Amino acid sequence: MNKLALHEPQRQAPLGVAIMFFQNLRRAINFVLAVLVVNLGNDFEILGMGFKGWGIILSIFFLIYSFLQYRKFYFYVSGDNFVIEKGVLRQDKINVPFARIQTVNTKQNIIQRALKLVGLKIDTAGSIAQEIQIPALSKTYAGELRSFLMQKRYEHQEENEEEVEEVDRTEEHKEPLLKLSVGDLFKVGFTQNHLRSGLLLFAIVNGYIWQFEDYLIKPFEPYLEETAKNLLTTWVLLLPFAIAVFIVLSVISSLVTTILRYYGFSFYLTKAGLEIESGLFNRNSYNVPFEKIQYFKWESNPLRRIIGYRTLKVKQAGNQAVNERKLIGIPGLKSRALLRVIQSQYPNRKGSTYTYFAPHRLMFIQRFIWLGLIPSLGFAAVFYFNQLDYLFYLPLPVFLLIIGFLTYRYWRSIVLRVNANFIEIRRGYVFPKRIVIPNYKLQNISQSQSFLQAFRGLRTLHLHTAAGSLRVSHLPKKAISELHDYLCYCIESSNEKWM
Amino acid sequence: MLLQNLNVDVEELPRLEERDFTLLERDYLYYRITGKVLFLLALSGIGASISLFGKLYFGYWLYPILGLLALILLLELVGFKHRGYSIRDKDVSFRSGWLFHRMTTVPLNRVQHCEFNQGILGRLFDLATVKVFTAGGTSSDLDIRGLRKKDAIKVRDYITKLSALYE
Repeated sequence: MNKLALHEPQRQAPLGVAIMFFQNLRRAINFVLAVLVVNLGNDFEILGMGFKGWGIILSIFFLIYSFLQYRKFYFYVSGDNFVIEKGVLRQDKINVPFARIQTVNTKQNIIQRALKLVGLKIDTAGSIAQEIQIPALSKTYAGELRSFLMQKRYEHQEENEEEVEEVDRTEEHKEPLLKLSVGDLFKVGFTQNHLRSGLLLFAIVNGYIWQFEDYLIKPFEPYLEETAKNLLTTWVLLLPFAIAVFIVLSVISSLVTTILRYYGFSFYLTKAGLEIESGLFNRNSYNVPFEKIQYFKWESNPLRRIIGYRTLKVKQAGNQAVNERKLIGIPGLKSRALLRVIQSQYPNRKGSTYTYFAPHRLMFIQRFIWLGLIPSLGFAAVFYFNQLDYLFYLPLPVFLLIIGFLTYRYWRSIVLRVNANFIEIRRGYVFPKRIVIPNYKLQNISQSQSFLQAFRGLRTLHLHTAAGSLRVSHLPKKAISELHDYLCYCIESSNEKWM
Repeated sequence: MLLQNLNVDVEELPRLEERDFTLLERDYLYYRITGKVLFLLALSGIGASISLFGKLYFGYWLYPILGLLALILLLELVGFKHRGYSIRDKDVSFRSGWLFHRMTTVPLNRVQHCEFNQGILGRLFDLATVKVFTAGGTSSDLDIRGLRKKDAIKVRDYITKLSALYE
């Protein structure tokens, strides 16, 4: 406390002016980017001043504004609150009660790294809409402030709970459970879901291109039309080429995103929770207190299975949109490390015998009809009406066989198992996933039945947690009603805090 | 008995059964039908004005709407029996639907908050809805519909009181 001197308002590190300046600049550039691109090369004139003149004036204005922003940004402790005051034109005062603090994370983007500064971000329980961030602190100060805040948070939360556990919260120096070397990074990158990253890249590129469609494509239009005609005749030749380009681009994009996100990734298991640090340009560190974790999910894909890597996802409480942002993935875990994490969290996971449930074959039939039969009938109809050669029909049985095989394996892969403390769901053949939820983390339970299920006495179980809903369909009615009552009993009789 | 080896015998648990569910007020059926009929009337109004002022054969909209009306009446009449709510010591449940049935149970120690509301049509029929919110997301929140206003207030107060015990 003495070192932090939080009893009186503190400013950020002096270089914070630069951080604020770049923040403002980035916002401004985003704003005028379209105008700049369109007018690229040709100067313009407003009120007798050109590109350079306006640029200088705006820069000076931003510099002054950033300086004021820096001067007006304070943080201090008042009573049981951490307070941030900021704003030049409109003064904002953000009060964060210590007890409401969930986690304190540090962030570093490329500018902050260059200036050796760290941004501190405070996550709170409940919906304080504003983002609570202190963008520019010196590294040591940020570390101290963070441990100070976390310390306060524990003190206040323990005051509220009667049984104060004597846990040693002092800095234990910890061995990372997982550290990704550059080699690991390449392995993780090469085994990403390339199709997804390819499509993502395509979507991004597509989104940007159409913004500037008029300027980029219009001039070439007559030329394009002509080539399009030629292309149509040679599409058979070009298709494999296009596919190859797509694959190469996808792999490169997966590699780049992996390296950007996971460079220097280290993952720690501490007494209070999980800690993760990663990122090449934007260096982020997260920590997740144990009680905030709603459930664990781990998944793999065909490429990763070869090298035995799995991705662990830690699902935290929060609404879906926030969740996507906060979702923490830990790639490249070997099964032993994975088991160690799960074991440390849920020591009695194998405490009692599991009862297993598997879906009825109606699920296979329905999926096969929707994914296999209906599309192939559609194609057959199209071929028929276009009076195409019978050769076109040949791939259809092959397609049906593949879909049949995949849906069969998918259906067989789904297993729900329940014991006295945990629910585990396993599903997926190509992309196997597993989910472990402690029973008391459930929020509420539903069951549903469509008329098709009603004929066979089947139902679907929906499990709602604070980190999203899960469902298992086509289980026998009797099993569902037992599970429903049992899980309700588990929730109602548990005194453990779900958050 | 399918579940085995738990620290409790499933047969000894309080089972949620058919008889636990209370049927909703009969007025709720009429309320639903009125709402849907009003919607169909609006549709027929559009159809009729096109037929009167433009060129559209009456049958083209009248028969589909009559068919829809018959279907709605059938679904609502049969479906009404399948709606109901159950309030027990430690949880609240609501179920609905005939072709697509759904039942949700919210344990009271997971209730975030609970509110009561009444729409315009609800005021005509003296019906209200109690909404129970949990942290499980919007798809899982529980609405107990078709209660008399005074019952709804009672239910809300009961749920609020009991769920406050767990704070």
